[in-house]
Amino acid sequence: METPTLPKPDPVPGQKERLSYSIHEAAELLGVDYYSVYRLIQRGKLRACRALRGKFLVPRTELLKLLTNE
Amino acid sequence: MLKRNGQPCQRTVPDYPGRLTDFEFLAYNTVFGGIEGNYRELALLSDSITHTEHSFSDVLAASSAPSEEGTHEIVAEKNGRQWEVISSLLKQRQSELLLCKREGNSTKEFAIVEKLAPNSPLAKARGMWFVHQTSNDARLLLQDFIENERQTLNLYANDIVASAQEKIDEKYPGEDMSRVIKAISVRCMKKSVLEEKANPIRHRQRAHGVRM
Repeated sequence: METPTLPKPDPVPGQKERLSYSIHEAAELLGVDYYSVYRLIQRGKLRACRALRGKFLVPRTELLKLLTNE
Repeated sequence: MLKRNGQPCQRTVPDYPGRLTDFEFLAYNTVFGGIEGNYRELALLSDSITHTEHSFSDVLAASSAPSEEGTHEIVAEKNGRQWEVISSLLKQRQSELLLCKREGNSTKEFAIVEKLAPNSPLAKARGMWFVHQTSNDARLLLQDFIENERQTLNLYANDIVASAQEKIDEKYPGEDMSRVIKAISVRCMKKSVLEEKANPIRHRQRAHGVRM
């Protein structure tokens, strides 16, 4: 199987690999509605962490896991 | 007249029983304007889930009807396992939640399947039919699905409130905006909870026999 890549979004110039993504960015990377990302988190199929003020962040490694069918 | 720090508190906002000062009211409108799109989306999703809850018995009847060849769409997971589509449960912009079933010699299995956009990276990795839950009991599966969707709405509502808090901290540093955030929180959370009286399947524990 091809190794999945996460080519976008990359809004920080010069920073090639992000450590984590917002829900909207994760949705864009997975090609799903952002509500589907919340669903994946709620069902335990995608791990996320809480950032400042409780907003969700999805670690890059967790997105890659989902895209490699682990 | 109720006053706070010498300011009259006369302003009311939807779903919040308290009163806001003119300054808080202005802040509420400014911040809520920034999250209104998400709030509307939350309200639409909540209505859709409520609609699914109200069609519970129809969906259940459809799930127990005998299968007739050619009447339902057949879909296949990436591993080749096939499912018959019984009913659409929730439509989103890029995907759709479906109740599916498969029958063996003497067994039936039901699943909540998300139909993904075929060209999405997730569909390419996992297949376009993403199985969320399975069970041999359609009723338990549907109950669990609705409960999970409510919890998902709650996660979404909490994230909207966190965004509102960010905007408040940005625009009004050092100001006590606790009532404003409380008012926004109450309004968002109201959309993520169920109409208690209308729904007979609320407040059950995670159904046994449902696999995630």
